[in-house]
Amino acid sequence: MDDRRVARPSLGIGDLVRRSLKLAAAHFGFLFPIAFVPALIATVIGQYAGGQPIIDDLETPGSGLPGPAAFLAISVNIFISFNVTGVMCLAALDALLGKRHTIGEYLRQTLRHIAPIVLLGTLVYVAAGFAAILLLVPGLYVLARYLPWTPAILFENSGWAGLARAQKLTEGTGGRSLPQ
Amino acid sequence: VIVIGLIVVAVMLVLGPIAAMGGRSVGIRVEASFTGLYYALVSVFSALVCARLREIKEGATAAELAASID
Repeated sequence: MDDRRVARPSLGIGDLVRRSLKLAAAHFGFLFPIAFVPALIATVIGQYAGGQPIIDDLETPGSGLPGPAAFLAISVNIFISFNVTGVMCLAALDALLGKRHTIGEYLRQTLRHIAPIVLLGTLVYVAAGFAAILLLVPGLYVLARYLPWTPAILFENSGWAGLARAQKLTEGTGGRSLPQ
Repeated sequence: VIVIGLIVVAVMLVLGPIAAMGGRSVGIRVEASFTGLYYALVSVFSALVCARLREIKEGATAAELAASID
């Protein structure tokens, strides 16, 4: 046995999941409305895009492509969901620290980095989707490896280097940001 | 992420039939609630993971992460 080997502190995923649930429950009245209102807007847009339920417009007959209303609704939904994720990460950090900022301040910080958030986020999900086609595990590994990309961009102002920063943070964890 | 996804799916399975009985407007609100719940849980989880990873690897405290919006 090599006694010089330094024990790496445990990530403690089980503990992090428990703390996440506790934190979300303790600050439900603060966190949930921030997520619910945009989610409601996105759902309504999705349902009523083009004056008809989105499901009817999902494919333009004969083309196999989404119709313009569906395309617009999907784009708006993606934009809203990445914005909400950013705002929620900042709100979650404040909840963790017992601090408060205004929603405007969260939104300003998110919009300052919206291009890398949307483009890098799309890249992560597309990569995870392709990896998941092979088997489920590679897709989950990709998601775990880049899990902290939004906080990395927003908390550290790392911008386009957000993915590299997330990769560096999760290096050596062996995908342990997935619950085991 | 898997555990949080499973929790949201469990809530959906319980509340889904109720939403179906309530008509379209109730369905929209329930769907938005699931989405909001998912956003909230995943964001809290990824913020905590980021804070923990920085603590392990760089000895940074969670308070240092908040500097970007202060």
